[in-house]
Amino acid sequence: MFENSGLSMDQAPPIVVVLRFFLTGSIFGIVASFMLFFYGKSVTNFSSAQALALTHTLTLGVMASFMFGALYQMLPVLCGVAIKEPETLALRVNYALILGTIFLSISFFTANLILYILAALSLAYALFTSSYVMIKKLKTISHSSSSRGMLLSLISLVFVAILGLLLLSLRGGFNINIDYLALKSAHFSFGLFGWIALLIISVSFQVIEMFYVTPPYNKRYANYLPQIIITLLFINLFSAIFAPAILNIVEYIIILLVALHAGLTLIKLKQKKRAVTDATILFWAFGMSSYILFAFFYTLSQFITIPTTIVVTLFAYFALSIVFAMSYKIVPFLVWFHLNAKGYFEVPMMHEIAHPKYARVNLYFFITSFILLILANFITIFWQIGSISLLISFFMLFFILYSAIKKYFHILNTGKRFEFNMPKI
Amino acid sequence: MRELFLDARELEHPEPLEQAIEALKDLDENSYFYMLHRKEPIPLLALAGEHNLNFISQQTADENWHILISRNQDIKLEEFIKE
Repeated sequence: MFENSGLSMDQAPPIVVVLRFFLTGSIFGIVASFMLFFYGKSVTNFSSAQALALTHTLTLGVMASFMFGALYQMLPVLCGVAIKEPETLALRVNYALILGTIFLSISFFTANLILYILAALSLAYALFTSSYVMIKKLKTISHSSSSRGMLLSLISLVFVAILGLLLLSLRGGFNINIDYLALKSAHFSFGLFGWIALLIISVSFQVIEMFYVTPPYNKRYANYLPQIIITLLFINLFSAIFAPAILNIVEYIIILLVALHAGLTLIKLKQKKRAVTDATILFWAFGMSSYILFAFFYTLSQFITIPTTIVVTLFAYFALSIVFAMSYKIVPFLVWFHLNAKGYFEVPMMHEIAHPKYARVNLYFFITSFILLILANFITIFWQIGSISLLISFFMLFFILYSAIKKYFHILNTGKRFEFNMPKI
Repeated sequence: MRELFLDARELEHPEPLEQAIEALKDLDENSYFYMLHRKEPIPLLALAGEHNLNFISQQTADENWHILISRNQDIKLEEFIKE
């Protein structure tokens, strides 16, 4: 409860903190699309430098940028956690993440020790600093299911980073007595299901009900699901090292639990009270459907041969879809809200910042790229056509972010202001 | 005392905030804004704090949030909460 408690806009980070991360993420999305265009079929070999570079451009460059931006925004607003000097910290983390992603992606091709070290240092700074500050803050609050899930997701990120750095050390030639494949599997599980899926689940607990006026998730379910997933991830980590035989079973339970949540979210979206369906709801629905298909094809792949690229593409589109959904929902709101909070008269309406029709066209390009990239497993030329469609999707997102920033600063520099507590005549 | 009431429980984000900000612009010394919401609207409270408005937010047993905001600092907002 708040009662004139000194709560102020200082609680929320400056808008540039969030938009800078989002802009970075969309630029890396454009870069990843170009990589996919030029690498084509070679990304289907997951040990190839091309596949590793593309995977890390997507997970670090795109996903981590958007997720950090969203966390800097959501922690104060949803959890009441204020990060000290967010602008300085976010700027440093942003630069370190950009450099780390570039160094790492290049290092897969060159196997250059200096690049490995530079990548390790930059990424360690970006991931550990942000995680440490956020975890420290989140440990002090009384938790909602959403904030608890975010905390566990950040803990997973720390493990992803530690395991990733160990893998990098092995690639760099350092002799560590750890099984490379077990390490890789644990890095993969903590990254996909701990960091990415758990964060999406935690965010969904809060935003699905709030944004779309759906029935809330069951409280006990929302409280325990993230805890069960993180516990299973640790069991998974130990079984990767000590009991590889049960590794697949534990991982499969995690996959099914996330699929359960995806199904439940689809049901909630179907139960929303408003009849209007905008592009952000469709992005959420598409993302959740993509995850269910991922779980289905993963299961199927245990019995029949299915191109692994299909399974990976389904997971990637699950995560990216939520990125688009959240960006189209958050960015117009942030511009509108921050200008209102600063007391400007002529604030553009949210649909003037990102028109719903524009978002819908973006959704169509995004879905088209998904279909084409799935088909690319059978018809090679679709790698290129699909990546062009993905490129357009990310470019559209970049353009909306860029024009939102431009509009924001234009009004900030030229607009007239009012005071809420101006005396009334 | 004039009450500007908004039941935002069935409104989609960000309509509650949009309507609340419009209502805040209409406040005078003898009025207060009363909003019912299913979540605690931290951005709105932050905005009220930023503009030195008098405000209170309280959750009742039915899990609804009652948010009261006035321009006049002397209004005892807690007296107007409807349980």
